[in-house]
Amino acid sequence: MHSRFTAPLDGFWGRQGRRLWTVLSFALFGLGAGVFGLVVFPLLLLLVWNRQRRQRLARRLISVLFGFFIRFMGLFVLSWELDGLPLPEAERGSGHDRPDEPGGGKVVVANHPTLIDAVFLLWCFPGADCVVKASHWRNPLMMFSVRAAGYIPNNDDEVVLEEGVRRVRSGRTLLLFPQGTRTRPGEEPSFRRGGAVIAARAGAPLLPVRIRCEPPALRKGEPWLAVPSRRGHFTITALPAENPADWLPAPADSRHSERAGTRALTEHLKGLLLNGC
Amino acid sequence: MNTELDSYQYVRQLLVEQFDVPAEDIQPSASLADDLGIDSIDAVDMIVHMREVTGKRLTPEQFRTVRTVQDVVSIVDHVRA
Repeated sequence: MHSRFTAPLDGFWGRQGRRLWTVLSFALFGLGAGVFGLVVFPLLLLLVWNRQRRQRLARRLISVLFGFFIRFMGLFVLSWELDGLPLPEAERGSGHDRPDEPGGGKVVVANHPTLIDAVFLLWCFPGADCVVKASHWRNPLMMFSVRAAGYIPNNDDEVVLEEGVRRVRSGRTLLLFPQGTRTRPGEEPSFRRGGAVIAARAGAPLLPVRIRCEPPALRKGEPWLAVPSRRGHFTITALPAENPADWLPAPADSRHSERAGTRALTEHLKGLLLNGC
Repeated sequence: MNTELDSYQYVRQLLVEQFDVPAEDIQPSASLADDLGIDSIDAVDMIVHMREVTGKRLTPEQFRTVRTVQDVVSIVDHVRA
């Protein structure tokens, strides 16, 4: 799937135009966060008491809103192609969106070059579980949405592991950024092996998703108004899934095997996802 | 009985048996991450293991400041006290 408009909009006026559209995009995002974060998600929490149903509604809504945001940015400041990923709109209401189907669970791990990677992935995987910065649970604009969607806060590693395994076993898709935070330009990030451990313990596949943005935009440590010389083009590629069990040396049911196997698998994923970065 | 020593022996044994750390690398001042190759997932497994042994809940906050073998020993002492 590709964005429809891809003119580079380079040159002085193109760049100023993209800068203006970037401001508008983030203003829209803020407005959406206000309206939905302070009104719609609190209403969901108040009115929909069935947790399953509430989470499904909240996640579907987040996916729709993020898809809208990306299309809005896609009018002038970015373009994208999704490679090997199902159409988000076709997925909604089926597959990932229908949790608690044992056997269908998986862990999606992605590299994290830009500010909007999670926006892309939550659009592409509607209904997915996500490990989110714990401070969002106290941020008034975010607290109701992350609660309504039932995402997992990242402040307690033990909870992340336990909850992650439980949810993947129950058939859900779990999104993780093993780097934890965006790549700093010129720095090699370290990859944590939590995603591999969760997939191994849940007996589920691990799907690596590679995110590229060319020329780089919205990076860590850069003001988000520092728009690149031309429109940033995102390529989001689903790589072949890995089965963690294939990586565990025998005897596979020991801590030693899990440690060695998930470390090797995580290094492998790091190479796949950061290669050429 | 010297509980300080006991706790140290327990931590040492835990590191060697459960986390494949060579016994000769273990010193009170050794850094878990840099010298002994203990990562954040190992830390979780260690907390779970210590809870099973001591029967007391360790909070992630207690463990957040842990850097060295001696830090773990201090926590074990604290939990036992």
